Amino acid sequence: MHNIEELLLDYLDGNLDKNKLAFVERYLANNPQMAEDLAGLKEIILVPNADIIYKNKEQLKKTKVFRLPLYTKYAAAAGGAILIGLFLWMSIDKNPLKENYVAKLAPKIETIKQSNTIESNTANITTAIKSSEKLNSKTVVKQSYRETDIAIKQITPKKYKKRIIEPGEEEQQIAFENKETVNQTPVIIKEDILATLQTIQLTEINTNSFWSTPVIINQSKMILITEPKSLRSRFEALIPNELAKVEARVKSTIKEVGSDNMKEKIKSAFQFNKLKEALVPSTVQETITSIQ
Amino acid sequence: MTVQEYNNSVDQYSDSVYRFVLKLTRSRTDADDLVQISFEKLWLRYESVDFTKVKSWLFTTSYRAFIDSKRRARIDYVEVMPDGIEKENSYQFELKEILNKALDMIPEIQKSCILLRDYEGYPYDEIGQILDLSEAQVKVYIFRARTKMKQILTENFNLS
Repeated sequence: MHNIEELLLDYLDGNLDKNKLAFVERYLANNPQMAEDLAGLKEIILVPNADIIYKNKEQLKKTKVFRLPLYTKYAAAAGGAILIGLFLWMSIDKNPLKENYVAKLAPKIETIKQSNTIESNTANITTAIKSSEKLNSKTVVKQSYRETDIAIKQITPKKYKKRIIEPGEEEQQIAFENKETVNQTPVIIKEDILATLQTIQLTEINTNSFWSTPVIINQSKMILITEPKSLRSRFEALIPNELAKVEARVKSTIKEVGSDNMKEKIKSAFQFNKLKEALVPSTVQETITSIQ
Repeated sequence: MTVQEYNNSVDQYSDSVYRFVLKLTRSRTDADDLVQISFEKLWLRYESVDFTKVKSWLFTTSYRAFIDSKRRARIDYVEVMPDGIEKENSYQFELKEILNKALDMIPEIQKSCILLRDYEGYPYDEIGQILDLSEAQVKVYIFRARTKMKQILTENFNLS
């Protein structure tokens, strides 16, 4: 089925076969007005004006350029993406436990900082550790250790590293050393004492939190974190045998009472307030109070 | 297509593309822009365009660029006198003027069809490809365009 206008144009162009030509001629015979309109229509042809030219041809022309194949562009983009990803990966701490912990416990660490009571600190950390109950027990131990480790990092001044003592075994330094040279001026000593006291407080928190969770203690090696070794000698010089007594008491208590009753025993073993009073002059005490 | 063939296509087809879009836009500035856009697009993919089909490619691209620009800017094109028209004898000049006016009075799609047919000599099926129409539609549009132009010429010059 053809539109009559389409056929009429083909008629003007002379492109109709016999059947269609006969059809169109019959149509025109029956429509004289259309036949009249058609007359002269073939002459209505537009002629382009050759004077109209595009003047900026030279601007459109190009010289040969070296083009990299398309795949090289993709390869370069992929390489760049890999480098950026590698850079980001290296710049981010890769410990997922730590990230998880930081995200989970950041507000709690802040709470710990603001709190001076052993009970509240213990409760905070214990709650945090219990929140990881979905993991198996071994993982829980590791994560708990790391969480505590991070808690200490958050509060302890950076220049102090920590070492780890496993009660009931030979004391061994696992990973940390104090790499910075300790200044011997009195001011620095006061700072050291302050920092150490904070560390001891956290040690206590860590200890309580660990041993308040039976599942953990059954699986762990009863890790105990203590103050930096470099400061230990200073404490011992100021208060001979005090720290050794504390450690010895912890170890013996573990052996005596087992894990279930350790929490209360450890609390009494660490009498840090007394230690603090013995170590720090009254002027520094005020500073400590104001900082805390 | 090579770079040399690209440059050849500039020499061979830029004028006809320019005349085509100039009739559509009735603005030298807009026509210049459309020609430039069309050839820039061609340059970006000249390696994948067959030189034997580059003319149709250019008309297709320039027509789409015209439609896009018209939609985007809602350009109300105004008629301008193109450069290069020398005033011949008054009858011929007046006839061209009437033809131009008659051309501007027909719908845009009809104008595009008849321009490609008369200016460039394209067969109906290729015009359909360029303008994204069926061959039958192209024939109908051209027939209506010629009828309308004849009517205008008849009214102004008593042609019959």
